[in-house]
Amino acid sequence: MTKNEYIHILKEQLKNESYETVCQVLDYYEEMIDDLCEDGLSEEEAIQRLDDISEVVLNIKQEEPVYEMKKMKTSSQIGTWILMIVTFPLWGTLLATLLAILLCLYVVIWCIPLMTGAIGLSGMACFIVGVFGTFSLMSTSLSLGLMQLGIGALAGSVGLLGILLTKLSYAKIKDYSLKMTCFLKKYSLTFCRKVGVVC
Amino acid sequence: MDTQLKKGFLEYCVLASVMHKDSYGYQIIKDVHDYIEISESTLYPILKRLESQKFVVTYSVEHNGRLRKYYRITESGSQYLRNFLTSWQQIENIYLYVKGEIQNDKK
Repeated sequence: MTKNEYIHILKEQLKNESYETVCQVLDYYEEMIDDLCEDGLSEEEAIQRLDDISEVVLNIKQEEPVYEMKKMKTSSQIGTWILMIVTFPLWGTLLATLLAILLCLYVVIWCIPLMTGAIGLSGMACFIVGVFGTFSLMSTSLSLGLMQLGIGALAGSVGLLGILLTKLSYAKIKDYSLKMTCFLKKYSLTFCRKVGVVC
Repeated sequence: MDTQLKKGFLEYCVLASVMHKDSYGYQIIKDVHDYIEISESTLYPILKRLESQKFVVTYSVEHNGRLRKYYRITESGSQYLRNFLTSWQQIENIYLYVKGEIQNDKK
């Protein structure tokens, strides 16, 4: 059985529980499977290590849920949908703005390694052209050739610095991006679950 | 071990495992496993209960592109754990009383 299958069956078995309980249980087991896999087990082995789904469900049902939220009635669910559709011009624009801001944020932070990368590449290109081109130039004018060699070396050092900065900033920005995506995913999912759009 | 008794001990063990360092589900199981039998499905309700009693608080940390839930002991959680140690004398007295009664019954 794969992780997705396990989670799917567990979700099915918990359909009578509150949204909050289902979400908390699924998060817990997803994290547990990921941690087992990280510890060297395959996905299938990790699932075999876990208790049977029936036992998991039994343990949950025996306990009082922490934040018991009443399951939405169908009438209130319809109400929520109507309210969401009616208020769409308001929350829709706000959501679009928020998404645009987040997209801008992503673009801005990724501009840093892009910029340093461009500096690195152009610097290295200048260095190669400068150094190899200097020999033909030296045959006509020694002083001009030497100057080009110097400029080429300077461009090469700037290029190296650019490559170094790209390497450093790439790791950091990748980390920030992942963090941002994780938190964005978590809060948007929590929000959707609270509203009752998804479970 | 009796289920009810084990349930109580498990709570103390889980609390003890987060006493000095915040921990997460899988790590708690690994730490506690040497002392008392615990599975993933038994840990979940214990963590929930400790959270609802405000003996632990939770927070999420990004780890390898996913979120991992950490548990931190609260002041009341520490106090609850300390109370367990101070009430040990009473538990020992109960044990001796039960033991004595069993031995008397054998005679």
